[in-house]
Amino acid sequence: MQECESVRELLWAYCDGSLEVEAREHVARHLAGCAACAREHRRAAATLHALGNLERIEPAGDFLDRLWRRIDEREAARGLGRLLPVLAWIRANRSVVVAGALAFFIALVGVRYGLDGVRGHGEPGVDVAGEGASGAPLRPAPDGGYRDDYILRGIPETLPVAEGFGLRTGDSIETRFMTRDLVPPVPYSNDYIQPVVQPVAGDGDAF
Amino acid sequence: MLRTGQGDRGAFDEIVRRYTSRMVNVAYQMTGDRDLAEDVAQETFYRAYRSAASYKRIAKFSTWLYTIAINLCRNELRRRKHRFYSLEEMAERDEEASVRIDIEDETAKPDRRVEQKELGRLIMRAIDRLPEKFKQPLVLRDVEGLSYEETGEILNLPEGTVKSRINRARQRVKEMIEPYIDDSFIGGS
Repeated sequence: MQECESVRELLWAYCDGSLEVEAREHVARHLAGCAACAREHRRAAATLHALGNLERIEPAGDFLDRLWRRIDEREAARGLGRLLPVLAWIRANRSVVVAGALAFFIALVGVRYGLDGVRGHGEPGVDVAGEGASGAPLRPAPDGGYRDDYILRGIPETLPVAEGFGLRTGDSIETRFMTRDLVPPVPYSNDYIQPVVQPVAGDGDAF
Repeated sequence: MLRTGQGDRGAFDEIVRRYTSRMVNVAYQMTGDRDLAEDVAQETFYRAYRSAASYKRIAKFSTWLYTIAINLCRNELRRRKHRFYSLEEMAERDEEASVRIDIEDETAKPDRRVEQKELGRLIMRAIDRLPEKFKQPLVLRDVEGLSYEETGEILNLPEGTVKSRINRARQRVKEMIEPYIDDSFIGGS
């Protein structure tokens, strides 16, 4: 009886093959001669067999699609979630944010007009021919002419057309002209300017 | 997984295809609810995806996935239990369950030969009635076929504890299904 008890304690390990060789042989010998333990062994083995062969369920066909939807939605929500502390801070410090934005806007406007002022007055004798309003070089168009509006800023020392408008050499002007009238291969020349002349500095009486 | 961490969605598709069935089934055995099992499996993969960028290979990948799934099952079952039942209600529910089993006992004669499929159902019910600490190692080892070592890693338990819990769980399952199986069935298995 005592041996039966010790064998039954080892039955599960015997069934799943995790017993050491010596213990396994001992259990096998006992089972061969003990009908009650052999019956217990068969029941244990049947239980393990049934556990290992349970019917498995099949995942739904759209499992992967649903998973990607879940991932995309959650990741989007997490991205928004990261912004929430920032938004909360903005709400709590509204006056600081508004003042900052205003200062930034004023600085932006100041820089923009400040630069224009510098450009508009220019330096006497500076040849800005061939430069557009943005400072970029004139670009030849496919049809051989030049396209775009350009503003010349500077002192037109040799600008005959400007003289036709009553400007004197040395006057500061801003000239807008259509460069499509400039025809290669003749390089850019002030002679080709079709000016809309506005004085930006100097003697306004010239007009 | 490293490729997934670098944004390769195709690599993650492969992982999901390879492990979906295992994750869904382990969750099904743990919860006994098919919809919940799919939900747990989805959440398992989502957590894995989120950790992909920081993933370091310190354990077998499947072991890591199983760990996530088992923890999610545990949390989900506890959450549901707390949501739906007070302690008193749970006691009543257990009583009802035992009455239900007794009634079923009458219809299913102890000497009746049970077909393999029906035996599967009985075992499912037996597993469902096991306490969580016995159910988890039993499902991982005997249903999913993992080693004792892997089971211990997943449950963060020493191997000795795992073996002892599994044997106790097996014993309880055997006792629950014994009335339904006769010797001729056992002999034939």
